[in-house]
Amino acid sequence: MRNKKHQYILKIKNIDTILIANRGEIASRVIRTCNKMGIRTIALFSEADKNLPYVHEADVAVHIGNPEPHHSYLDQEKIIRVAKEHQAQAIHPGYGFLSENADFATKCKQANIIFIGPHAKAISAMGSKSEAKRLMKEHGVPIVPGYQGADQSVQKLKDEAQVLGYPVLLKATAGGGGKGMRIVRSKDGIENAVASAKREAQNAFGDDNLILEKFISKGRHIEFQIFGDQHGNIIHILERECSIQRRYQKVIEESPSPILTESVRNDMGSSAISAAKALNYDNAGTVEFIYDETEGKYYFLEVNTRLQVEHPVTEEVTGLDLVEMQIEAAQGLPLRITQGDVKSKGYALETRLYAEDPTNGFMPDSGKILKWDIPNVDGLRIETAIQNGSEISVYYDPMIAKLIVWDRDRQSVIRKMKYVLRQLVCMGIKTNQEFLHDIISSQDFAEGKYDTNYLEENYNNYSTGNRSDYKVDSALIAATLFHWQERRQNQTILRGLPSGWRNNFYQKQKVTYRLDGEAIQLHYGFNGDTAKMSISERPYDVLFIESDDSSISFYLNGTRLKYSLREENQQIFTHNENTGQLKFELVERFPTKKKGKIEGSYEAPMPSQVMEILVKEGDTIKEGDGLIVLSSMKMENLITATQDGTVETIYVEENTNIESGKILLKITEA
Amino acid sequence: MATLKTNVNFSDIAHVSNKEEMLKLIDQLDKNLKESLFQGKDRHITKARKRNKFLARERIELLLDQDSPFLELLPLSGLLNKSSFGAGGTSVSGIGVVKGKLCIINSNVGTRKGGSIDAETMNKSLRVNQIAIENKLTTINLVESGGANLPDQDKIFNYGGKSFKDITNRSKAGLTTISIVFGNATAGGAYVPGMSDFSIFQKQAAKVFLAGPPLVKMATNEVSTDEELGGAEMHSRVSGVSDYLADDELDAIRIARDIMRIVKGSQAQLIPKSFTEPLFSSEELLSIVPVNLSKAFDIRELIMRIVDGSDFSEFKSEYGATLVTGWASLHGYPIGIIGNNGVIFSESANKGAQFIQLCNKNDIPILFLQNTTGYMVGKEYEEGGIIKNGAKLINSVSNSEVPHLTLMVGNSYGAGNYGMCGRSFEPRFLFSYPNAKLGVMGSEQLAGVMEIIQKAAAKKSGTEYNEEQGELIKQMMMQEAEKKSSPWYSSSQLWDDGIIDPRETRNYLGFALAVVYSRDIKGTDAYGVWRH
Repeated sequence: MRNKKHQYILKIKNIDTILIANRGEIASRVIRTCNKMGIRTIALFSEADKNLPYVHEADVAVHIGNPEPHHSYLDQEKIIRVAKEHQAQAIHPGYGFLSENADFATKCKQANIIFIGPHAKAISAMGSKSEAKRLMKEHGVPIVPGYQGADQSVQKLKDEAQVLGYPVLLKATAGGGGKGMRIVRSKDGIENAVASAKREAQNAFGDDNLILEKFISKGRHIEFQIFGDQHGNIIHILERECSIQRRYQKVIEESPSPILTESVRNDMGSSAISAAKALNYDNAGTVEFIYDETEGKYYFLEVNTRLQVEHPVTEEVTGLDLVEMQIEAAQGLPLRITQGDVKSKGYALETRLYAEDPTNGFMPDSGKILKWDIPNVDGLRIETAIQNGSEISVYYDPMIAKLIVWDRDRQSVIRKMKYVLRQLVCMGIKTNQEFLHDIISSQDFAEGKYDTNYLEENYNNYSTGNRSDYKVDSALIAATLFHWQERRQNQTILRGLPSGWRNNFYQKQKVTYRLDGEAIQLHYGFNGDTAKMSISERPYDVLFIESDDSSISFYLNGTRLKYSLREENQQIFTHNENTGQLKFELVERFPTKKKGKIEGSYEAPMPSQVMEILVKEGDTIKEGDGLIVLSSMKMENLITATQDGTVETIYVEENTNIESGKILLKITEA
Repeated sequence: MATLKTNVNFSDIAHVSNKEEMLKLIDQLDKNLKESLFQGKDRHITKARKRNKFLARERIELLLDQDSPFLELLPLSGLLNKSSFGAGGTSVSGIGVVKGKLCIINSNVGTRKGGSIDAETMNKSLRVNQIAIENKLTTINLVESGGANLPDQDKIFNYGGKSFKDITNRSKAGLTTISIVFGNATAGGAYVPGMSDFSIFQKQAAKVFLAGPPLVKMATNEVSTDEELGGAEMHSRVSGVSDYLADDELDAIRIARDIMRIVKGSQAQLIPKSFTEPLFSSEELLSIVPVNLSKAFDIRELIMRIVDGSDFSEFKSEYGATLVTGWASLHGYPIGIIGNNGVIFSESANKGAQFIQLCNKNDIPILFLQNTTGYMVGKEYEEGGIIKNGAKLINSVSNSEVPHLTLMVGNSYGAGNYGMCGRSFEPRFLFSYPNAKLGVMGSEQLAGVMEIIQKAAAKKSGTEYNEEQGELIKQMMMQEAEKKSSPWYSSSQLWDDGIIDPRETRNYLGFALAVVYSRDIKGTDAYGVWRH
């Protein structure tokens, strides 16, 4: 007995230093648990990430290379070398990057480093979507009809799609997170979709194999957290519902699912355990199902062999620390809890704040976070990569933060999240903050009536609903007052005179802004701290209260308002809890002359990589023809011709990084 | 310091009706100021707009720093002069802030009479030049003028040359002049940019030559165009008369603002850091300062409504009571104040002279608050040496070297005007309330004196004095004298720098003090001989 215990203890591997082969919020998340457990952390950072908080939070941070992932977070040899150099016994891969790379897990093992995740076989089995489905079918887990064959020819995929019947879903075999995924609604679109899905898959995962599935149009995405140890124990830790998605990118997650009955929950939980058992699963994972609400049926989608982005939702309702459990499982410790111990308490809801423009096709945005201010709400948990002044770079996922709230019931959780989404200040770049607020505030969401198509069906042409005169005017007034106060502070002479004092009749002071290309003039006159302001003949009484370097309080027609405000390069960013965010431009009194746009030229809409140039100089093109494929934040963006003509000059090369506004090419009109 | 206390009962009927009367005068002021805003006939303005030109006042607004104050000077010059162009003439002048620095701005009203200069407009520019040189200010000229108004050429030609001399004298004195040419600056006018330290010419707009194509053709038979003779490009690339070639009006103004970055500004150590507001409302001045000039009022009631914290350190309060003297600060700037409480006696005059000496010794500017019917007359006072004592006051005012500011708040008659630093004693700034009056003596006295003299003359020559005719002449004289003693006439004649709403007193004086305090103040200890 004594001997046996001794042997057992010897089998437990020591982990006192962990290298985190990831970045951003998940790196911070892992560091937090490591700190709790007394484990040293080694962070890696690319050139683009050197100022992010996680770099400073880690005990050691190592510069790993250039921003491009294959030079940094995907460079397996370099990462293992750094782990060795810094005496890390284990590597936590986070999510994305190398987290589901069986090859990397194997290399770690060969280098005598613990890979914190399931064993490599489980990864490779699930890494291939086709193999995963076969395996699940064998173990009695219901699966969606589809094709998972090795023949990857376009013709074969086309034939199989015909057999399944449209619409079909193309997925990258190696994929996740919506990369390389396409819905094809008819046979006309299949060839293009296969080509672009393969390109995206190759770029994201280094593997362009695809699988085909029958597309379930009215499904709900419900996933089960599973957990296994090296002693054969497997449990599920309840579900998360992630049906609020956009292009397979989860946007909102919650637990428990608002529609799951206890009996379906039990069935799905059992299936999740079956799936895990089929893999001899020995760490954290997620079994994803699609739940057909109308038929009450669910199908296996895939197993994600890593910690999920949305894992905090599970942590909040169960009180567990999944990262701690991961580390313990990787050490070889048995699970501390049994299935019977898993209890859910209350509700948790997560929204993902992205740097993107919901009013413009969710175009990713990048740039500096000029102000980041989190409201003080009980039960709010923020997982973020950033702080004031951080850069959202073009190289990585545009997720800024995860906002998670917990409360006893779903209604309270929704109310809190609405408050958070009103109060949170994230300025400097375009975000989906108001978009999230609008979804959370909808009657459908309150009633739990949504499926995976919900966003596409309801928010396809999203526009910020409340761009009222009041919203615009109050933001412009805040900016005007803020600048006025700054000038007043810096004024040296004639401080005793009223602002803009005149002894004869003159025009009022004037300032011009540009909002969405439209010039708006604001006139004002001060008497002490009180001003009369007007915008398009709409008069306002304004009384300055106070300001600091990034906020201002004032009375607008007798109501006290507080605005956060930052500016950069004449761009002004404002946020108010009621009217939300607004970005506009201050038109300089004396504009510096800008070089006029060259006629027929095409500019990069945002910082990007040039993926493919589809034309060459001298080509004759028609309006609508594709010209150049750009990639930004792993999303492709096709620049198309807006006129017929001839390609005169191409200014960029493939596989180069370019700034926003860079002229790509010039077309001579036909 | 001591805080002044008011003795005014605002509910009494005299104060209520005084306020009504004063507000009527302010309405008249506003009406006259509105006249000064005229910038030309609609068709000229439409034409300017079509050519993307800004009007004279808009150019000033663009040139000034955002939110900064602007003190327009002499807006009513020529107001009552039938032969002139009317209120303000064809230029807008004042003091403003550009890149944080005080400067004089002159803007030709090119849309009114082509910006040509009449006699009053020229006099106005000479007065503004004087303000620039006395207060060591940079001058920015916004030029668009057809030159001398030819029907007025006789009144302009001889004195007009001084404006060019002024530019170079300022330059010699270390003061900068910047001229932006937006249009015509021909013949004599060409010397405005020509003599400036910096000249900015607007492309396709500036026209600067000694003689235009017709005159050149007459003189030398040479055929030429405006652009060849005096265009911005030629002057910027060939002649070198222009230092900066501006693309358009905004660009030209931007360049001028840019130049202001290198120009010397106010001395920072002279700018007060903080100050307090008066304890009493300036609105109350409307009730307090009498419109009926035969009514007396305590000048301290005015002082307590314009100085910081209503704090006034009175000097010699028990002596020479009709002249109130003391120190205070306004917008944080230290000042000495001399104010009338009626007629000046020998004691008052002596007290004033001593006070001026003390201000000079301590380098403190002096504010004169004029409300006097003059020096006391009569046997007793002549015997008491009112002449030699009055002379003492005039002597010290004349030779004092600290800046003087004068505000006319009521009566200003006879030598009292002189002793209290009237126009001819060259205060740095002189402003009038709309109720103020000035002259050798009151119109009634003047007419009465004339009547006595004429009666005496009739008696001497033995002719019969026609009472009826005499009364008619007396009335006419009174009317004429009354008209010419009015502030409107005074301002029209450029005897003051502007008529002000009493409620704005502190703003005007604070502005003027910032101007006089832009450089070190140094008093004198040298005066003319006086009799003890």
